[in-house]
Amino acid sequence: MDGHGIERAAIGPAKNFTAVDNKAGNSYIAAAVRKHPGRFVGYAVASPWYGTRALRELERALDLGLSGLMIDPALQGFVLTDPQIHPLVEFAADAGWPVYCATGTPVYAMPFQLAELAERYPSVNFVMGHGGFSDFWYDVPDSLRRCPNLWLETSYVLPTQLSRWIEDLGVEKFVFGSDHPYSSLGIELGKIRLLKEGIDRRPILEANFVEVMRRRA
Amino acid sequence: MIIDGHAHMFGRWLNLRGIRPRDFIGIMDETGIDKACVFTLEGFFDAEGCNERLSELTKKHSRRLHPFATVDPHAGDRAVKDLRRAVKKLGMKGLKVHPWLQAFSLTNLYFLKIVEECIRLDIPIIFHNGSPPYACPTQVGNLARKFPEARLILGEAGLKDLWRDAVAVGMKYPNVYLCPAASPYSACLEMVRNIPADRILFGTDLGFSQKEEVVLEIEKIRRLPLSDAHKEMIFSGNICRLVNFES
Repeated sequence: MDGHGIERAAIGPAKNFTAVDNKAGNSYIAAAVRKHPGRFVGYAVASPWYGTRALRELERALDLGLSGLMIDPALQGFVLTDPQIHPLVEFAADAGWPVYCATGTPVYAMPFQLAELAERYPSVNFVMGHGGFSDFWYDVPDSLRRCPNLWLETSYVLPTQLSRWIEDLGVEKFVFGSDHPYSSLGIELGKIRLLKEGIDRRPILEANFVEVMRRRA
Repeated sequence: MIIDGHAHMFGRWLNLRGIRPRDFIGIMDETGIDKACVFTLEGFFDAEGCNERLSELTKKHSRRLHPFATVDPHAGDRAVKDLRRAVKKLGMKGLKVHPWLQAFSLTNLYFLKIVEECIRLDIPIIFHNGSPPYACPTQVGNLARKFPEARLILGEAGLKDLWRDAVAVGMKYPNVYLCPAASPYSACLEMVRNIPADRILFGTDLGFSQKEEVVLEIEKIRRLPLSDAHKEMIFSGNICRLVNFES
């Protein structure tokens, strides 16, 4: 982060931490946030398959100082329209947390599936992780238009595609994300520099995510 | 030297128009690309005449732009003839297929005849790759197993969700090559860790993408923890073994 001039980052658990070892993942992220409170905010994970135990884990994560819910339907093994995710989103609504959802994987995590969830919970802020990359680019603009509570996170999305969407939909709907280390922070940041001239990068790199973290009125 | 193994020329794809030859060469000059293997845009929807048009577009720049043919397996035996003509008469250097857009399975019997013809013509096949249900790496793997003599290139090498398949298939089949345009950087790292550098190719998907994406793809290869000699293989050496640029 220091090497790339990144001041703050939202971080979340990955891999086994997201899929099954939620408790260990949340504790790990919480420890990083506690160590660098000025630099990190942390997302919590809980597999919906754990049922009420998942809700107890989110309560523990809230107490540990985490401040958002991260869901990854393909990794956690549920289809995004499956109601079993609803209690977790309701927890996020009560906690004033945003919900970050990885998208782009067919069957499990497509943009319109996320739009359905975002419309069901208008008081929750949602982030469309990876912007539906790779094959759902046609579904992205309508999803963002339908949902005032939905933002697009930029990792993997190609810069010329991103420029077109920003011009079409307004810069306020886009938040920078790197998915580091799966993509690369340097490469993803380089991409923001490659956006079309005239696009104001600052809100993408800062203010829009501050808005995502703000509890909806 | 940098050779782009995966690019698309001017044409129509819904509201996309692609890049005209002069602008295409301009982007190559600005980004330091010497040669490019170029494919159709509109031929994935209507293959009729697409090879002639592409051949015409590249004629003036024949040392820099090297066209690949596209044929429509739905045309049955005529597709085999179209391919033969594209290679023998128009001098095309390989076959590009986009099974997702062209709506055919790689197990389709007509397509298998096309593969057999590619083997006879001694040309590689590059596949759009990473988009279910028709364009998955393991489907190319199955084809590689059926045709060990065919040289098969995974055009995007699996993209964000199927690059693990691309690595597995690349490790298993020595006739499969990976061209990781638009695949994640971590995927490229796994590819170079597991697959010999002589089967990884540089490509940009220019035409579907723009100059900015070319810059990114070059940067991705430059950052890989490889020797300069291995990077040189990826940037140009390997594709020179697959494609006869001199003919």
